[in-house]
Amino acid sequence: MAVEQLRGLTAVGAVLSPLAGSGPRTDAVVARISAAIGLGVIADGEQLPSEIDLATQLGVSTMTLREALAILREQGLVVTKRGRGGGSFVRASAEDVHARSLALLQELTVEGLRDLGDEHFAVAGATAVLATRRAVAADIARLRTLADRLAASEDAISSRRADSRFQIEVAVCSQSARLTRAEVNIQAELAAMVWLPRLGLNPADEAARHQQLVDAIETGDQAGARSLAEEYSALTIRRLIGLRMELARS
Amino acid sequence: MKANGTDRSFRADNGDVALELVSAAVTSLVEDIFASLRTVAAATRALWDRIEESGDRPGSSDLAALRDPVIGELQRQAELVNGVGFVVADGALADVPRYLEWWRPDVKPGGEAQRLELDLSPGSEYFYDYSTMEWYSGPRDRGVLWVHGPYLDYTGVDLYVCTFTLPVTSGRGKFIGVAGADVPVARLDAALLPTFAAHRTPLALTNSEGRVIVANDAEHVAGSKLEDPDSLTALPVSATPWSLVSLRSET
Repeated sequence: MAVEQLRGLTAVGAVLSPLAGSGPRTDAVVARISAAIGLGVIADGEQLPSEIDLATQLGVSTMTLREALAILREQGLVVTKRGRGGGSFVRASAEDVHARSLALLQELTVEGLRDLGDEHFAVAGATAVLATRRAVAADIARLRTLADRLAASEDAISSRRADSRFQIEVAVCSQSARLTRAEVNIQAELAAMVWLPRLGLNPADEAARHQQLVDAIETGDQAGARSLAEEYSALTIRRLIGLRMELARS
Repeated sequence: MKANGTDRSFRADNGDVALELVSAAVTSLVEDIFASLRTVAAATRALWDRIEESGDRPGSSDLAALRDPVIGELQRQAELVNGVGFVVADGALADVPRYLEWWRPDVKPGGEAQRLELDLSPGSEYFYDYSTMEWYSGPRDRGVLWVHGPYLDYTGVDLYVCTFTLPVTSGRGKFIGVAGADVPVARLDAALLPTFAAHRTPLALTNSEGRVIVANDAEHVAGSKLEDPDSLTALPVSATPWSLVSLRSET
């Protein structure tokens, strides 16, 4: 059911789309599903689609998928229940999600982070300018609502959702499908790491920065919107690189 | 016919026959989309009334009966439309709070239509909360035909579309949902660009917010906003909330 539900939802679609290229498929499937769980795209307790549906969605044989599920069970990320109402279920508490995000951050190099940051710098700056040119009153209202939702968020997971949703919505206001897809993919990689409790971000402060960007978009200040978006993207990646270096020291 | 609560009709009182041709092409395209929605709405209302008259409340599985009329319209409008369906009013069904019976063509040509399933549980990260979306709340609150967009529907179908909707009421006069269709802007462009290109002066079709849908001028592309709409002559297009804007300033 989940995959059917998720078809058309871009972030999830990116995670559960057919694997490209050749090579060891089982490992690729394990990496893909554990990334989806780690990012919170598939939530704690959620049932995975049937083996046949999931194998079709990922473009692998059911044999490969079963091998991958066996590995995920060993890692404790998936439990399989037999019988009526049975199937494979995701196990991912908030702590699990944070632990995996931290592990993901440790797997990335500083150079890899910088490069991800560079891509976000380009996309965030360009979408901010285009949003300033193209946003209408309803867009501004939607952006403000999302920033308010971030300010009012009470735990890391809801902050992450509200924050990434805001940034994706700026891209939506740019009216560009390609740039929006790029932003969605970047958020899928970045957002869980940005809201790691260890970074200690205050939702109200981050929301205030987002409101400044909305001010610039609303007043038609293209240069201001671009530089605010670029600065925010640079700050985000600086925080992550800082934590990555800290992890290397300890 | 009126859409988005506007009630105005285009009259070529300036005697511009060429402009009238462009306007008529847009109106006929939009009226044909609404004709499809009327077919879906009529099938829904008939089904709904039949169940209520038998003393039952409709449930989500009953809506499977809409499959044939919906897919029929999807096929009839294959050149233009990328999704057709019925979106149920909050709380109108006996078994689930929200539901949509929405079908899309298969990605492969000649393949079978696919039912769109979205995440409709409020706690979920990808909750598709249509009750707050304009294409649903507009016709629900105002009881009129609606055209929303162009907009990027990245949580729904991941496309740059205009969504056309029509409110549906049961025989007992209760709002039960909206019949709708998604039309990708690229398809509108493909259908209308030849007509626009043949027009001899710079011309744009814009929505009520001044956003360009189709134009024959490279400075004004889909998604862009008119810089100074008040300085331009806009002619409302009958049956739509849209206008044809002459891109030459009146100076």
